[in-house]
Amino acid sequence: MAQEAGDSVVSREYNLLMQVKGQELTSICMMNISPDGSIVGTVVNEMGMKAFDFTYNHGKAKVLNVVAFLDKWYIRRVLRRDLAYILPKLEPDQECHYKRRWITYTFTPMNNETD
Amino acid sequence: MNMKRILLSCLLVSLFSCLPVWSQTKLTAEQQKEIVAKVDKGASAMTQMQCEFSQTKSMKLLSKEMQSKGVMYLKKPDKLRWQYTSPYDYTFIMNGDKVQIKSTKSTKNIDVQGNKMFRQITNIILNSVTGGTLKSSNDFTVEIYKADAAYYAKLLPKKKELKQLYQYLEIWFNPALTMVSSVKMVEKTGDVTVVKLTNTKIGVAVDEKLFAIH
Repeated sequence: MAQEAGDSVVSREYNLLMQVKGQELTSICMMNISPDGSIVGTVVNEMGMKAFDFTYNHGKAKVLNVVAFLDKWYIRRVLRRDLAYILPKLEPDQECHYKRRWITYTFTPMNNETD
Repeated sequence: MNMKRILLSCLLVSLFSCLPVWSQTKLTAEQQKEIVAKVDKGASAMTQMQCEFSQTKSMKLLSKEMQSKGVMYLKKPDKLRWQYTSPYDYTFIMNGDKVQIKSTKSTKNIDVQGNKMFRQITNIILNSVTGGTLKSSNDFTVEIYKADAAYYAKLLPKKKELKQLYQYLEIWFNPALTMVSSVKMVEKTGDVTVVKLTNTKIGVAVDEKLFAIH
């Protein structure tokens, strides 16, 4: 699923589980990573509906095109801060857990899914 | 230089004029009524069905496509099992007012009645695969087009909640207007999802257990 290449754009796909106050939300997170480390990505649910897009550049994350029911300033702020923390740490081929203040994120590479 | 430009222009014009033109015509109100009646007749006669589906989502920001496939079972009036089998396992079961969403990591039960947004989405899914959306004019403005031998309905959202999600939907029918062949969803962000239904079996007995929600 993921394409790794020396100095070209790298594509990665993860199953993403977000746990918020006992609620669980599964989705697919896809991203393109440029050789300079900048990232563009999108989070969609398994049925294809977009939750939000994001970009990451020089340590800063932006959250774009947030689906209407999640499009609140405080949600965008939490996501922006969490993504800025998580994205540079993501491993391409192993499951990663990140417990942040409100949300626990689990990224599972789609070609390496574990239960 | 000018001569070269003229020759190039002539070449481009002749090249494009040779390409097959995909003709589509918007039907008149009278023709539209007729088509809706035919689709409705087919949808009303169908009580249960099963099919395979392939889904392609084109993502504008990433300039790439995400492909998935699975199986779908339907039992009217309100039972649907939409199951992705590749590249991930994910099952959406609707049974009356209850919805269950199962993935490898979690199982979630939702009461659709208590969630307006979810109720609208489940209605769209159910009505899109049966063609029933054409009659429910509360949610969409319906325009019907003929494209070569096939017909399709373009659905333009009326309500605010749906406008926030979709620019429009297209529901394509087989030439005999007896079943839906594909559904195209164009999101507000420009992302496009196309779901193609294949190997459709209408009238086969669908096991009730497939819709069980525990």
